[in-house]
Amino acid sequence: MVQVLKDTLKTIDGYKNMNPHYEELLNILEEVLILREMYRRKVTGDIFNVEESLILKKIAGGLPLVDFPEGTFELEGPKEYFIALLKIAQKRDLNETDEIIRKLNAGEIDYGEMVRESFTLLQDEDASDESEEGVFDLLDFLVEESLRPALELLSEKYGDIITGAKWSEGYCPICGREPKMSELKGEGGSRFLFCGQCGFEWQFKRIKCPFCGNEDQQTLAYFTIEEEEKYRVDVCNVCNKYIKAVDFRKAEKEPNLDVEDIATLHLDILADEEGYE
Amino acid sequence: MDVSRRGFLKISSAALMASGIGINLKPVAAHAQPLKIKYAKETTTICPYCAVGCGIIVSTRGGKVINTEGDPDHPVNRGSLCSKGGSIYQLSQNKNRLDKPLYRAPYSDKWEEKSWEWMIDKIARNVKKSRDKSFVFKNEKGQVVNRTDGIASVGSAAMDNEECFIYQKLLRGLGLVYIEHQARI
Repeated sequence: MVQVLKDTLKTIDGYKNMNPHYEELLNILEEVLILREMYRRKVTGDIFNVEESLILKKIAGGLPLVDFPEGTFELEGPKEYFIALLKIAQKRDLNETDEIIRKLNAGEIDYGEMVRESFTLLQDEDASDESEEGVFDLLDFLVEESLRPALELLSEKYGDIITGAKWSEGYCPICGREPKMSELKGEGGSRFLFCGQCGFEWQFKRIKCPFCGNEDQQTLAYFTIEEEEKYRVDVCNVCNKYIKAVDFRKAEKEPNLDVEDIATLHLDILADEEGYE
Repeated sequence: MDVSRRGFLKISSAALMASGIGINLKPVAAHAQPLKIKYAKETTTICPYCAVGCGIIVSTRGGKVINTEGDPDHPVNRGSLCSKGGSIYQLSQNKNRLDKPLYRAPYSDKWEEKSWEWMIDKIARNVKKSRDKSFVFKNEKGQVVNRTDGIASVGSAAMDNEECFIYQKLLRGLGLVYIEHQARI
């Protein structure tokens, strides 16, 4: 794991040199990845109490293993990691971050509520009316990240069972979130969807929208930009959603999708300009 | 701008409290601004060549083929293709492919461009001539065979199943027995 992290940090360094406009975001990611490695070692057990005997039934019924909107969990570990993550934000905005940490410690903000909120927002898109253009929301990012080590444990523990059970939905079989990225890989060029929340990847059909299930080839398309053949953006003209894809088959190295996601934010901006969300 | 699904390009909602901890994406937006995007479409098809029926994904832009690759979701080939199917892109895009008929006269050392009409007429005359000359109505045992021993066919690597079917119908109609195809050689 340490070697993997070292390689990833090297990749990040290379990207920072090539794309100075990503420096600030990649610096943050670097700090997050190092911190994640530390907290991953602290995670010893499943805090979500996944009932092993129900896994296959849940998968068959299209239900993710962890029910975030409804369930209640012992979130002390993730909360501790969240506060540690906030220290990264502290360097950017001292007062604001101090205030959040103070409120968290004083119980004025409930971390569990923040987590539930971050999951239920997905189903209620109108809730994000108060949007502001051109800002990467660090807090959202950190709330999501705070659960990652605990969820990675589940993906390591049950990943093989899920893969064997042929999960074919467009959302994560572990946490239910929609995929953040996709990757074309292997000899045959199969598509894998990547959950940024759990770090889990599962195989999904190449020509199908993960969000609405549309398989009509005339309403699906993708766009690329010149000199970036490794990346493409798959779009669906039925539900107007998009997903970025990385294709490292010719590059002969394994991409780290957390890094690739940040390093391709310009594609998100372009997709947004094209009217996809 | 509603990009809540991705967790950025927006400020968190009220319940998540009005946080000021955001990273300005202006430098990234400035980088994205001059980038030109190109759309393409993917459609699935079946390889035209042999009876295995491998699946292929064809990428097109403005009606032009820009890429072909094995379809990883096809149950027959799961993304793999043989060398012939793997190079099927060249069936559509190939600078070396002849697009005009060329004729080399007997004993000549050069090729001449001819029209399709001239070519088809010439082929028909030669076929008629050879067939009339070599046609066998009955074999040595006196059995009716109606065959043309003077003409053979070797072809064609770029013909698909349906073209081959019609082509061999024509050849058998003429009485050919020497019918060969690239896939067998």
